Amino acid sequence: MAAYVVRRAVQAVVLLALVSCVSYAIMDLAPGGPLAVYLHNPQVTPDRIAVLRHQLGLDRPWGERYLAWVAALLHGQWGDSYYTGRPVLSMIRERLPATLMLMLSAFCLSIALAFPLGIFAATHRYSWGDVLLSFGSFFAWAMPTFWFGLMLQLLFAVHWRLLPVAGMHDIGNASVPDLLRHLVLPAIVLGLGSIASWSRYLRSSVLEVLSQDYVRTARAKGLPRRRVLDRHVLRNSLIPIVTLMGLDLHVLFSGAVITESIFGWPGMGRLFLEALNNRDYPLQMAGLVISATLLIAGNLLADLAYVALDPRIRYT
Amino acid sequence: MRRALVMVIVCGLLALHPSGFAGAGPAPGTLVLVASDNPDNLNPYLHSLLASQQVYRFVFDGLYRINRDGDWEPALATGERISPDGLTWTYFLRPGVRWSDGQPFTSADVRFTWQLVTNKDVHISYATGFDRIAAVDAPTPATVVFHLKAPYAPFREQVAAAPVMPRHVFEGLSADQINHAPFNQKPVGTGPFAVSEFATDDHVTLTANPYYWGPKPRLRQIVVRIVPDQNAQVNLLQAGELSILGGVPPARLGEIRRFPGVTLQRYLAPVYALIQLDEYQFLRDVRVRQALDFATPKASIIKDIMRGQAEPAAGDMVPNGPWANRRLSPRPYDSARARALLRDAGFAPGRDGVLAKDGIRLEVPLWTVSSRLYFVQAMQLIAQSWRAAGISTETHAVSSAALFGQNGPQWNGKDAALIFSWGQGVFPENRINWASSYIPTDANSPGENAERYRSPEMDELLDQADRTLDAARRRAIYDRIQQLEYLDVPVIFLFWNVNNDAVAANVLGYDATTFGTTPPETWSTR
Repeated sequence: MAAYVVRRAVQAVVLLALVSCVSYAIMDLAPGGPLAVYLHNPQVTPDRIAVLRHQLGLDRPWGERYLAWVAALLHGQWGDSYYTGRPVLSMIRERLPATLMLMLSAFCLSIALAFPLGIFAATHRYSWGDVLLSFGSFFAWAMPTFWFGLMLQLLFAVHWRLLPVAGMHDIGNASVPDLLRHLVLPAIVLGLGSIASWSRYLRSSVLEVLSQDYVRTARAKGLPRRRVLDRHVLRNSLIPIVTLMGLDLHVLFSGAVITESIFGWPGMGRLFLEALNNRDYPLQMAGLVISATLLIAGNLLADLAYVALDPRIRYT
Repeated sequence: MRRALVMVIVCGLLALHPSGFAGAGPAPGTLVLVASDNPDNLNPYLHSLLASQQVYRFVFDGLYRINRDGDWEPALATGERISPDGLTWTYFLRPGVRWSDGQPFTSADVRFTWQLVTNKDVHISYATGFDRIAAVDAPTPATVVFHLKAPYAPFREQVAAAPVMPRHVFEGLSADQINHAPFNQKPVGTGPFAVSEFATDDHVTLTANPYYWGPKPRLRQIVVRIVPDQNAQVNLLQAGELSILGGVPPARLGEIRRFPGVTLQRYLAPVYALIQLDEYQFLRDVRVRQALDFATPKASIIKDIMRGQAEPAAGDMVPNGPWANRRLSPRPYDSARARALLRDAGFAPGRDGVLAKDGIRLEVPLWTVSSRLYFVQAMQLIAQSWRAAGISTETHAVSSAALFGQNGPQWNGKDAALIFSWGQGVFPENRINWASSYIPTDANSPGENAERYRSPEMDELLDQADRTLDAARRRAIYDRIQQLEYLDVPVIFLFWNVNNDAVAANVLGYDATTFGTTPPETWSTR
């Protein structure tokens, strides 16, 4: 087991190096560049842009810049944003609480709803409830996030005035209840997609397990229905869901662009989108590397979780 | 179980609500604005985004400023004296002015601003005009003298109106430290408000500056919220959480007009939409460019696509401003005249109906930015009309980085027409658009004359305009410059944008025009 983890970790480092190199190259090939934002500002003259290009080191070839970036990273230097001139890490640290708060609430909401709904749908197959849930999850899955978010705003904030439209706090009110009020709508919008997909996956995997011989045996030996579901069915149905959750781990960090934009939530998604639009290379690379690391780590964690869920799985 | 869940959610919402059902809205004395981006840098000389300007405009002053009628009025200065040769500009500073941290403002600050802006190691994005200065003297704390290298007529708008920076904050800092200074998030200025809190991507709070030299601000604070989504911004307005929403999208005007307690202020923005004609092959021929202008249905675009929220454009000076050449009017839409001009230029219809000359078809592809719906719609209409005049026209809507970037249509060596808008402002200086020295040589050294327009007379006029201080003669030069723009058609002028600001009923004293707003210190809320 330990040998397996070490081997995977080494693979991860190689993979990360490749990912960063390819991303850096693609970033450089993309049209525009960090100074494009100035090109159509009538106040910024061409000679000014040439000076800025030299100051930022953009007149050097990309390979040279990439190596310099890697060398700095190995010394723990993530660089400064081209736009704000501030250290990339402190910009990320600033957004981290807001991002984690939103993503974790959406995550918990999804778990809290997807599990009961998925199990209900599987155990009441083809009932009215199941049909309704199927319809509901396909609808939720197909619905564009921005539309749903704006509709919730119109209903809950504009029409009924129950919740705030956007932001993290009312002006001059930093209390926890105020924060929670602001969190409700974005968390629902963000969680909805996962609720829909996770409950569908759970439904089909529960259905598959329900038809297994050992479930029939458990029922035949007179175990209560609840116990059959909890111990024999659910645990064995978890493997696909755990894979999904592992793949979603990096999203907890990188945020959700559309939800954050609509609800004015100061999260990581907007930070990285702005970095992309402005071609703010240091910030863009930091986001990519951290996100890729979490994606790889999430996969590894999911693989390890299989062992805990299913004793038949062994890694050597 | 689900019913229980719904109950829990509803109870939760009620428990979290501070005062039952009433909408909160901003407290009296607080004005709430909204910006679409996070301000990148609140140092006016280092910023690149409009959102930064929306915040720092409350923080800094220049020596002079223009009011909302377009007239100059003294700000940090009380008067100016220009030497007859136009080489020496002396400013007499307002006594008793203090920075928002309580330090006194003196001529040393004005001198330092010039040193900062011309420092080659600072990431300065804006230095126009400052490069014309040879030296700045500060003979007394209340007098500052600018010595120019050559007479420079736009001095007042480029330098005297530019924000003055506090020397005491930057003293002893290296260029690198200035690039990364905390000042860039929490600047110190002489303006009516000072930044008291900057919550990245959430809001910026500005509090009344107790040391302000002008009338005491009537507002206690201004909060600029940062919400990128335009629809969410309209929802904020409707929910009563915003005081002013600037630049309402034309498509939402009808609806916002019906919001209770919201009024709309309409004014002409100093921003025009244009078609840039990249002169490579056939577009080098002025008759082809004039024909394209005749073939462009500008009036229908204003009426049907802009829904009346635009004004006709015949040149690059805002029509209600002092510099517009009022003898010019846009070419009417006239497909027959377009065809006649093209026939005179040697084009004849080919077998497929497309005009051709020497066996080469007249192909002018149209490009625009996909993020502006009205540009995409206008592009379709223009393409139809151009095709009707016998021109082969493909349409492309792409991101602005792709449109202006190194792999974009400007660099393939072929004729192309680009639709976008240009913020000319209310001042006449337009050298970067029309001077042949601003034709870009390669994609890595971009110039603003990307249409590659070249006219010796224009170059000479632009130089004269810079040197001519006499108002009447300067106006005559700009009249001729606009006439040349009209005759030579380096770009097709489509329209001037109209802005609509939505203002909540409890806001008093806010009024916007083409030239600016009423001073923020006079705004208040009920």
